[in-house]
Amino acid sequence: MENIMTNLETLVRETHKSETEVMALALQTELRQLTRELILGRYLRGEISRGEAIEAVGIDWVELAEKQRDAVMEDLAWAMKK
Amino acid sequence: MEKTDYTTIQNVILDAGPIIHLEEIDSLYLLTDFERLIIPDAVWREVEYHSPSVFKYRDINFEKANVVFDEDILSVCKLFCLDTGELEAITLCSQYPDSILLTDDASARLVAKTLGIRAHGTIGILLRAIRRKQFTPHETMRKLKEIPLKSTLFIRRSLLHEIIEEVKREYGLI
Repeated sequence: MENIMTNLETLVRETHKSETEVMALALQTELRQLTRELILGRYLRGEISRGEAIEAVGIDWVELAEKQRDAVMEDLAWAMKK
Repeated sequence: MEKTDYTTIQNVILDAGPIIHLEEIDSLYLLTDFERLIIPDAVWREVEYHSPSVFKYRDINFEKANVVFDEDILSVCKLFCLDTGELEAITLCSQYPDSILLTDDASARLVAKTLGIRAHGTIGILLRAIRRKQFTPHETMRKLKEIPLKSTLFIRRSLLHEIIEEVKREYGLI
């Protein structure tokens, strides 16, 4: 909590915005990120098509999600190897 | 492709990412499980700039290595817009047969795969620590949870959650 308050104070000071504006921006950013996570998660679980995911979040995020999942799966297989 | 016995990996070539990220979550010593930790010159400079404390650990013997550039590798790396550190790390892998590359860069991993180089990342090292008895499954899960809070490694939260669930499943913690 202390960290959050320090970050908030820094952002208010550096951006010359009010605390309310910074909080609104933070909420907006977090909501966008959570929505993106939700969509990418649904795509990777096969609940929506690749096309739908691209339309919703853009190809860069979809490709990043695919690469990251592949890399992690490889790491998992390597690490869990008996 | 020939199978590598991962219990006897001797040469590990390091990109900056895993060194910095493991240090951020106080897990750099996991690298001592490998015989040789080889860092190309450009990566050494990058780590020295971003995390100078890395080289203060006396128990971890990093070796700095010079890279002899290879035109073929250079052109593939340029195609994928890799930076100098990643380029040097991949090139170095070709100088050390049977080495593995540790990188957290998705493009570098893709290039490595294209060139037949085995590559893994910070997550892999944390998970491997359970099998190598460096961490208990709980310790690894704690470190995984610390990533978004303490580390600059970017990983989607849902993917991290999936990994944690997989660890729980694998080790009967559910």
